[in-house]
Amino acid sequence: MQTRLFPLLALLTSLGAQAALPVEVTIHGMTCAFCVAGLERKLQRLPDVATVEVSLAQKTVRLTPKGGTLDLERVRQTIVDAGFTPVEIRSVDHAQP
Amino acid sequence: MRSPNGVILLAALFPRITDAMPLRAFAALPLETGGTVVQVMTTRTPETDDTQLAVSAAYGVAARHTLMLGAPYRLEPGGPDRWGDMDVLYRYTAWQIDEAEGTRRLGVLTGAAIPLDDQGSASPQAGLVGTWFQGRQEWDASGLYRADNGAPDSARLDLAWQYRLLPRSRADWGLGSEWYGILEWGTRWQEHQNALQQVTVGLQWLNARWVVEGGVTQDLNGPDDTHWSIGARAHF
Repeated sequence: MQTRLFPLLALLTSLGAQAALPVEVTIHGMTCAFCVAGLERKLQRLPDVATVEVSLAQKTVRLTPKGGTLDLERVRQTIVDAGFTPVEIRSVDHAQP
Repeated sequence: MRSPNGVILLAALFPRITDAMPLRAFAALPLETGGTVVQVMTTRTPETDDTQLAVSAAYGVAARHTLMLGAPYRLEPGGPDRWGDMDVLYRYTAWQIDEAEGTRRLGVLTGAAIPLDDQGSASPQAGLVGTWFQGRQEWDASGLYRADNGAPDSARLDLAWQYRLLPRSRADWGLGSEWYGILEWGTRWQEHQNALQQVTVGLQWLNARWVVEGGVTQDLNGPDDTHWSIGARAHF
């Protein structure tokens, strides 16, 4: 697995930034399962998201795009709307060992 | 229900809807925009043969804005005036620092207590709530003052501590179920009366959708009653 790091600030300055690969988002402020469930559901409802996995242990959400690409600005805004703080977005290439 | 004793009794028993952990106290943890939490809790006081049902709800208006509603209903004993005042509160998270292992937040509470029995008028209330969540522990502190119209003013102070008992370490992925132990201290004050001190010990089981919780609250002075509570919350 090869991971490429994209600073979140760079994403914020490029509205419409998209990712064709699965992404992992480091999120601060996540506490218990009951509190984070709303974030998981909101991400799952995004039209370009196929799957959502949450890790409270790693403070990370992993998103797989549905077909085309992920709208990263919309992902970031969804996390903010849920009351949490996105810190870093990593694009994860599962195709490469 | 708006007699001085009735008001302080309901204030003492009424749990506060929160999107997070305490049984009877407020918390400043987030509720996602458009999200709803509904809580139902029954409290039994054997000494007075009194049983209350409290129904509450919270709605996430925006990331830092939450609307909270709640009202207690007396199941036993029967008779008139079973509804207590309906609390309508708006929580604004004024300060927030999120970290990898938790969060620190401070919220402002404003709203009113609205009588449901056609007696009296709405009473404004305001307060503060703070939450510190770190690792397996959550601390919540809150205070709420109610300037009652036609009755003595009242206030409540709460301090709550929650500790995640299980699992000790979370799974790498997925939102599993968790067990929390709860310890709370509360003060219920009403003008012209001595403040009532209470301590609560409780236990919660939760997953991504549900919280099932129960606890026992002991008056440390005043009526010296014991209150048994059991309830559930659902997150939509």
